[in-house]
Amino acid sequence: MNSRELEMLLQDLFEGRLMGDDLESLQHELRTSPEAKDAYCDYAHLHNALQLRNEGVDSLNVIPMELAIQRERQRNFRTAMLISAAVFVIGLGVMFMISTPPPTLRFATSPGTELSISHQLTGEEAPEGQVLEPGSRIEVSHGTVELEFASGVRGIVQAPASMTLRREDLLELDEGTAWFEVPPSAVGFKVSTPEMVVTDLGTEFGIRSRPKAPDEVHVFAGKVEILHRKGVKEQLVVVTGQAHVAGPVGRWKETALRRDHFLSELPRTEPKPLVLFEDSFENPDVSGITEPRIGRLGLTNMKPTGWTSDGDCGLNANSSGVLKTPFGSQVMWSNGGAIKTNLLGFSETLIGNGTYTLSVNVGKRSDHGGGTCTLELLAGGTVLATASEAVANSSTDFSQVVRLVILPMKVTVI
Amino acid sequence: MCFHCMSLDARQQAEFVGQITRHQQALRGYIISLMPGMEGVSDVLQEANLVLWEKREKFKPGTHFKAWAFSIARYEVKAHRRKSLALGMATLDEDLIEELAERGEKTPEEVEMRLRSLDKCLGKLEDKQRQLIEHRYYLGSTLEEFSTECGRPTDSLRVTLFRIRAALKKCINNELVIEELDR
Repeated sequence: MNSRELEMLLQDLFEGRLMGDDLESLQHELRTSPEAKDAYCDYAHLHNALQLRNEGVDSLNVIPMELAIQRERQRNFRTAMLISAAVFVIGLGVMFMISTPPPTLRFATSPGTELSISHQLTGEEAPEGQVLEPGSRIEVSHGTVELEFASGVRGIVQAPASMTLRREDLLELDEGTAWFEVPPSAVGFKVSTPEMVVTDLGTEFGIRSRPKAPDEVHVFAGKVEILHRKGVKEQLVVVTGQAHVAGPVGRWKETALRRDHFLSELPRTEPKPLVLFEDSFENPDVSGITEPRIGRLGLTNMKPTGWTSDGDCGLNANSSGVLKTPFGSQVMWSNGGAIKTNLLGFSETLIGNGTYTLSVNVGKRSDHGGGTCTLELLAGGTVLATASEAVANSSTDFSQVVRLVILPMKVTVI
Repeated sequence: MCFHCMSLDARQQAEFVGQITRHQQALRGYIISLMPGMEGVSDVLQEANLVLWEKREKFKPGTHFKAWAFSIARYEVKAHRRKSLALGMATLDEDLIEELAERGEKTPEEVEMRLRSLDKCLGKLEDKQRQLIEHRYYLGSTLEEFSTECGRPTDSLRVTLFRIRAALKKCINNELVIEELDR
């Protein structure tokens, strides 16, 4: 038998279509020829390798724990039946210790993190504590979450983020900025986003998935395989130092590697909020002026810089003795009119779906009656959000804060 | 009955799972060589993994994990083979298959090396060749199905597949040599 005939028969054997005389002929050759034996081994290796490149090694599901637990329970039940019989005979009590497997994923949070969790499992089977099981979904509106998979995979996910644990080796990241470190034992770990599937091949990598921007993958060590989920579904292996962004029609585009976009450790303190706008009404200086006003009385030279009013409002200095403030040396007052300013100046720094807080410290002259402070955020004439609070009589020191939290805030940057 | 003395602690369990995981590709290759052309390789592999897990207390750390794991896999293949033969499947004699499988046993490192080589070699295929490989292995379709889809006779595809495999085999062997030299 020549090598071509041998290879064709081996091909048919591994395709499951070899029978009759051909099977006998191959069998004879394999029994008698060392070269044929080696050809068989080579064929089997290539067959295995090609299938592995398709299916991969499901490293995180090597031992399907659901099945293992089910079989262990069946065995324990059989053992229990035997021991029950023994108890009946000799009258002794037996206490079982059943070990429970570790949770699929534990998570920890940085200070100030706000999140919500829902689980697919319900009742007694519902996970307790900071634990996720397949089907669990976590939405992080603020802060950072550290994920620790039972497999050894570690991840740091920054808000805003939402993700579902599909399997112990598959995390569905709908949105978020996430960094992962995958040990060799967990190769094959996958993260899917709306635009891609990232399969780890033993590495450290980062993913950014945002609603209005194309998904990105950044590889800091090792390599990952990325599959575009749209269009032509281009598949690539990305190695250390490379980054790719999901392009149109299902192709990938190389982009700059950005380690600074990702955290690899959980922050120990709550990040200081970025102050977009602040004003303590220090301009113009009205110290020494008795009851300066703007608005109704028309003293425009006393108008606080950047503010307008349609009512009876003005500035007052601590030195007047009527109202005092710990923030600077002046306050703005109103006898009922609205005081307005335009916040367009910082619109470029706004982030879609971010959390924004608008707050104002208020106080009231103790010799005046009640009043209510209303805070509104408007886009043109439309009120986007509002907060309202009665101002306490004792708050002449401006310690009372009326706060307007806007969450989430859909921002379109033009 | 002593339940405590039967169980491994968390570190030992993690090490054990690590061993199973490290040997997956090699174990799968061994199973394939024991059941050429038979369906159910993944099922047998999963069953072998479960049995390994259930017998984890019996494995002595420091002993030859691969030999132990492969012997369990061989037993699982025997059970599967009996069922397939009962359904009329024709294949090689059991003693011959076991001899061949033993001859072709590979360590996890050797399998990994071959996979790296295969990656390089797949990149050298022409588009039409890669398409056939993708249909056969990635999409799992038979030559008959692909024949219907692409309008080429099955026998012609069979010969093409043979040539691709031959090219891949040659390329992989070359790559293995290069890798060995580079070490």
